[in-house]
Amino acid sequence: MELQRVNDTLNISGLKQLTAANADSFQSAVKNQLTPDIKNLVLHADDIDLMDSTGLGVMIIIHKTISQHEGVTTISNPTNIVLQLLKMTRLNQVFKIVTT
Amino acid sequence: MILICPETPPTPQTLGHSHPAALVSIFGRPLLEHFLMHYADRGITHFDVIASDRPDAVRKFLGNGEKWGVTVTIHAWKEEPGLDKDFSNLTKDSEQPARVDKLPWMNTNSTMGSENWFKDCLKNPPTKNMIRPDYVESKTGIFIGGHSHFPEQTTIIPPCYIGAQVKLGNGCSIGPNVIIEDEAFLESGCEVRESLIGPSTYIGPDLTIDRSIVMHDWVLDWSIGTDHQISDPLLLGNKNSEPVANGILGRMIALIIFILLCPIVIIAALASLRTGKPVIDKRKAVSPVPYKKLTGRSNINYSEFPSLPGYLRRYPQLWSIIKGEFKWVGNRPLNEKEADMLESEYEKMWLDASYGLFSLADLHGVTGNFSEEEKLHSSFYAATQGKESDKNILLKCIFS
Repeated sequence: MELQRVNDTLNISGLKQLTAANADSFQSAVKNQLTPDIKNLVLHADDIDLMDSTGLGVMIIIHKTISQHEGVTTISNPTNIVLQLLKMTRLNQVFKIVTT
Repeated sequence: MILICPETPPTPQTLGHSHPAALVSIFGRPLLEHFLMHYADRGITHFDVIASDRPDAVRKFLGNGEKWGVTVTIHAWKEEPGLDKDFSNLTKDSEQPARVDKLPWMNTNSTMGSENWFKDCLKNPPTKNMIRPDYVESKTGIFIGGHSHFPEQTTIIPPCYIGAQVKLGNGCSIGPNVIIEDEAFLESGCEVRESLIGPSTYIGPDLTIDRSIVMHDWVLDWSIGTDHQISDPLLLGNKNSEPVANGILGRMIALIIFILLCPIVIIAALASLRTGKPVIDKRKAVSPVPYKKLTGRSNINYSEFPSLPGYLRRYPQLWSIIKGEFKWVGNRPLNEKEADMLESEYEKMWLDASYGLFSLADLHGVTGNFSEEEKLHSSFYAATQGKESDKNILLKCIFS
């Protein structure tokens, strides 16, 4: 997983899965980067081939922090499995979904 | 008449993952049964059924055809034949062969499992003499099967066909254009539109199913273009999955561990001398539904070592696993008084699961005081139990 700060945005890429197995470590890694100067978050989900409700839960927790800074949580190029989960859980109305 | 059962693929995995596509249930009956009934009604008395995909499952379903007043011969072929194949070596029957990939009265070219196929099914429901007898039209366009009851806050928008023993949680919104098959369980807050929900499918709370077919933990979503498995028992699942380690292997493992840990008995005896409590506390629980169905017994006796801490006190329940009364993972036992205190239909689901040495409530640290949280977790477990979740519970209880 790679975390890259660009201006006021934290970009997360290279993630293959976001499940109960790695949700805690993902959350810790991201939270350490969420300094006051970071307003927005973009999860590049091109490579995520496995995601579950725990992974979604962690994204919601991170989104809450981003929202407190009036920022936007974007999920970029979600794979079908991610899109499916976001649609089923109605989180496609919470996160910004971008396909390039 | 020749009936050809489709293979998977090209039939979507969602439709064919747990049984042959010809046995996909719609309007309360497998497609194959719709064919038998439709053509038997037209005077066909014998069917040659060609099955290349899991012919044993087709054979088991059809038997000898007696149920429908016909005779059947099942032919297990390596590959699915085309409709234009020459079948004269099978039958001299002049009736056109049919592929069991749609309702027999449907005149459509839609591919099985496609959105158009589903829409065509909804436009062509069974007629009054063909629809399953327990389906009652409760309001215009809303058909509900036997023993299905819904909370008052449920919204149902026609047309909808809901099977037997379907449970809906509070605040569900169903329809329009929805078919829900028998024994499905939808948690509170679910929204289902333009979709088919398969038999015994569990759908987690506050989920939206739109323009999809959902069969257990498989989803075919027409809007996204997916046909895949969602391996998360909190979201989707098979309501009737058997828990892990409840067979001979689980009981053997329990026996081995029982023998290896038998020094605990001495520790329990010494601890009871110190605490003044009895060495062993014998208890009586009401039988959970699965155990009662199997044995006819109304009660289960089990024991604990009251002077030992944590899971060690449950050592005697390894013997309950060996006897087949408990499983490794299940709900914790309830005495008669506690069972009587379960009020809502949802709370009573606690007893729909077998008793276990470890439970979901244990994982959340809420066991033992019959709290609202314990009831919630126990009912949730009963609704969603499955091999994966049992494995997770077992591992986390042991290693946390």
